[in-house]
Amino acid sequence: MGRKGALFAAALLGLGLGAAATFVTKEKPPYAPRTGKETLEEAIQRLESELPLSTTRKPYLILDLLGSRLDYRISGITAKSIAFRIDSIRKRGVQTRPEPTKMMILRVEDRGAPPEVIIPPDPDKPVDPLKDPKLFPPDPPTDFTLILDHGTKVRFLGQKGTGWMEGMGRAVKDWLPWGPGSERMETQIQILLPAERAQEIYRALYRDERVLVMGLGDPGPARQPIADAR
Amino acid sequence: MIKRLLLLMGVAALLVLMAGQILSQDDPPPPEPQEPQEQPPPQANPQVQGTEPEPAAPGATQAPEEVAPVPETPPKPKPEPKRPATPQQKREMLQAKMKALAPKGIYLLIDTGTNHLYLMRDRCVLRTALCSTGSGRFLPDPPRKREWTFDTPKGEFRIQRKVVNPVWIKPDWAFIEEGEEIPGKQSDRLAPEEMGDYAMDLGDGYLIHGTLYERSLGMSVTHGCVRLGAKDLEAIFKAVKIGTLVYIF
Repeated sequence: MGRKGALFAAALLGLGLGAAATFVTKEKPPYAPRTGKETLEEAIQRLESELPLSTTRKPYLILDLLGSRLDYRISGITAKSIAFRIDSIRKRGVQTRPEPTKMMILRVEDRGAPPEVIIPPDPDKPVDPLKDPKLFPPDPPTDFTLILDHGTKVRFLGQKGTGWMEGMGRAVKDWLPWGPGSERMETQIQILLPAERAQEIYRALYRDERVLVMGLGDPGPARQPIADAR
Repeated sequence: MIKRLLLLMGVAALLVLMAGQILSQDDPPPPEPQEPQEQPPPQANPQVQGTEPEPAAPGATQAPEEVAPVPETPPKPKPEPKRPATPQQKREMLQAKMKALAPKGIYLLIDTGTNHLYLMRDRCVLRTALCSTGSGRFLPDPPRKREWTFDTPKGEFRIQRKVVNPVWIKPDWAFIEEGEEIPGKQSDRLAPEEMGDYAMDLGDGYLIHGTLYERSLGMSVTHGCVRLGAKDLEAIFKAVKIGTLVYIF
């Protein structure tokens, strides 16, 4: 082996050792869903927070970070429940964990992508019926970020199969200086779920939908719209 | 000398104790806390009412000529003090309030995420149907400064009208979307087959109806209405009444 080869091998070894050290020393987030029932205090707090939402007669979401599930609720009934895994929770860029008895009500501001604009067909060029988006719409995204008020973002990462390749890609992205932690949003939640479930969530979202986030509290100050700023 | 001093102090202490006991016996016993009782209804005050006083009974002692003292109005009954609810009771109370909001009997649940419609009775699913809901697409009409977003509205609705053999009167956007001229005549807007055999009106132009394109059931392709296949449409139409609740989420 030449000098170049030895240097290359040393560099590889160094990278490997660095990665291993990061993996070992990195704090494992205790994001496993809890197994027991909620405490009496938590139940009262949840019901008190939820009751005003139920009386609006509009659907709302419960993003339960303690139980790792997203509940669709309307008028006091759970219409649907979707289980997920928490990938990370960051508050002001610092990794945090969900805490019992903490909760906050937020509002959906945006789901990240603008609606698709319909372009009327040219009457002289007939459309292939199998490609007509009116009959066969494009699939919704499997990876999207829900923007809530008070500087909170929830990224839904739909995974196909086991998702280990995507997991590796994400880990590399997280290390980058321009990775997800770099934005220093008030709160960033990243959750993993099957791709079809992510699409399902995306389809049903609507602007101004209320989200009761369980496990996180103390939302930051709401961003004030400033008119006529130059 | 010291012994005498101690004896004197002991006697003094004894005297103080005895005096204290005597004094405490003179004090009235502290009132025991009583449960508020229902008071009798307050008697009408004759003087206030202006009626004449009753004549004194024979043999009764004559009242002095002074003005008779006005009897005091009885004290108002005190409201029963509220006992603070235990956390258990509080939870049950909140759960009961939540339960009261929940629908009873027959209702429809429409999941726009999976494009499924559920016919429900209380908490039981009676029938599951594949449906189509709003595409969420956006149609601008710059010449006339109009725009439409084709979303199915979310929330609680009621069936306001049931129609057999409905005829669709195509609105402007149906022509704009196809790149066609908007017709002037009403008769050019009629599409009798488009909505299937039945329609259930939810208000504001949103309906549950049939479709010519059953292949696209399960997809988000509509302009906001909920489309069903012919068999499911008939079954749902027969199961619901005007006023039946519909929840779209």
